[in-house]
Amino acid sequence: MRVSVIVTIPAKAFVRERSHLAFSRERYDPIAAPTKKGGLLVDPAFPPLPIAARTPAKVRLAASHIEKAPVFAVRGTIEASRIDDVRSSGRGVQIFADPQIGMFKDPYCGVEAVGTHADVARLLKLDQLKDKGLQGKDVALAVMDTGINVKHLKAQGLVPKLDRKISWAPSNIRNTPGDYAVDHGTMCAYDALIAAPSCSLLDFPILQSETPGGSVMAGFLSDALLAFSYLHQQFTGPDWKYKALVINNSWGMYHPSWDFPPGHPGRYADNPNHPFNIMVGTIARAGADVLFAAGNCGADCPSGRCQGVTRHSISGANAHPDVLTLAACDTDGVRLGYSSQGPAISGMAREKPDLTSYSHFLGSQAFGEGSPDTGTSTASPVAAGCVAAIRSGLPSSKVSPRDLFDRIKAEAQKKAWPKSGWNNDYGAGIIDPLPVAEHFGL
Amino acid sequence: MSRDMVLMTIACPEGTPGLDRAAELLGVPTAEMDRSFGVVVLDPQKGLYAVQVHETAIKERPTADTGGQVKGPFSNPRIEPFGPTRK
Repeated sequence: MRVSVIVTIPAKAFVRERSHLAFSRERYDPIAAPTKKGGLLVDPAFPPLPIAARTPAKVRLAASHIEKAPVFAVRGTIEASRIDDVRSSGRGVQIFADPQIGMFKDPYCGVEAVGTHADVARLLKLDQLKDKGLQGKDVALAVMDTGINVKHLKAQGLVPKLDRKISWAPSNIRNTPGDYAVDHGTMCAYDALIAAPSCSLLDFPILQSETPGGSVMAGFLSDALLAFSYLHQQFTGPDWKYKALVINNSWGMYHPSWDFPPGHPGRYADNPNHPFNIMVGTIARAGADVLFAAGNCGADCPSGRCQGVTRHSISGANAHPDVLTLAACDTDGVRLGYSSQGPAISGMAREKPDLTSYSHFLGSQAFGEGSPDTGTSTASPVAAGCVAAIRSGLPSSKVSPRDLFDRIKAEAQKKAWPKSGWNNDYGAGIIDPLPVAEHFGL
Repeated sequence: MSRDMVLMTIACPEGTPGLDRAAELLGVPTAEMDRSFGVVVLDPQKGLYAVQVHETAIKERPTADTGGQVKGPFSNPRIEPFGPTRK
């Protein structure tokens, strides 16, 4: 693979002359490659630039001019595997990286929507997934949330499928799948259907629990434990009819004070042996794709419920090694300032979030006309829809959740800042399902 | 499910236990078990299950060597949506 490089070459009369002509905007003959080793090609459009010294300690102002500079820099390309050939050429030619750069925007902390669900569909290249027949058909997508309102989804122009038989509710909640008040769960269902309009929704209103002490739109982890256990029995039972199961979880524990204190053997946040974390591992090993939102405790504009705790805020099952953990960006690819950052809490998988997905766009309008779908709560079901779309052509019996998640991370659009590879803000990058589908021959 | 219930795990390799067997493993009367929660299968390969039991019963049970079969109590924290809600 050819890579762009910056090459420094010792000053010679012809180099000074070409540099001078370039800066005086007169025509000049570009310099040839300073060495024939390595297949180095010099960019003729890039003028030789005077460099005052080879090391910072030797920099002198007078030496920065064309007439005095001891070294000049040019731009070129070279086979990456042959860079060492040039280094060993012994002619004073040095090769430096010329990384791609981009403008870094501050994380977005505004309240207005950035783009719409149509922008999300365009960014995810969903028309091409549709051409491949990947829209979530025969895939079950469980929404562990406040409940779904099908009427609202239909009013937004969607044609949702809901499997009422497999849906479930805590014992103290009326089990009316698809008929819960329009709220957070309806937003999540809408966002999942962007990429997987043909999937079958499973309604699990675990955040409607009326457990004593809970707020209205909240639940307890034991509700999630029961829901996962029920779903696991269905998924591994003889009557299971779907190609795959995707489970979206846009919830979590906002503050460590809600948990047992650090060091307690029964603590949830950092304990892989907590019953719920064991349950998550069990259902993932059985073949379910489990996605969790990273949380809304990002340092730039954290939710008030974080109570100022923004470090190591990804915890519990949200930091489980078997789940895909989603950070959030807007439709410009800019990180949303509330999106929780890694590394995750010590004791769980440290490199969380795994990936970034889109949020803060005009979508479900579940909270009124013009209100955006926000939070990592939105990023997670957008990604869950992508997983369901891929799964409609790739059953979990063929590719395990772990292998699929690894490929999704490998194909993510890389974000070079703050550092290449995995980083605290974006994980592996922004989700890009099309190359994942192509990788698996879909 | 009441907040005075605590979350426990039991290992029972011989198969899914009923509430009576779970209570026996825990060393508490069956009446102290959370019937609505039941016995939740956590990891069928390891024979691991979750139950809820009255906190006072766990505190008052006689000290017994469970051979690592019983663990807990575990935290049961509140969970909330990572996004907007109407209420």
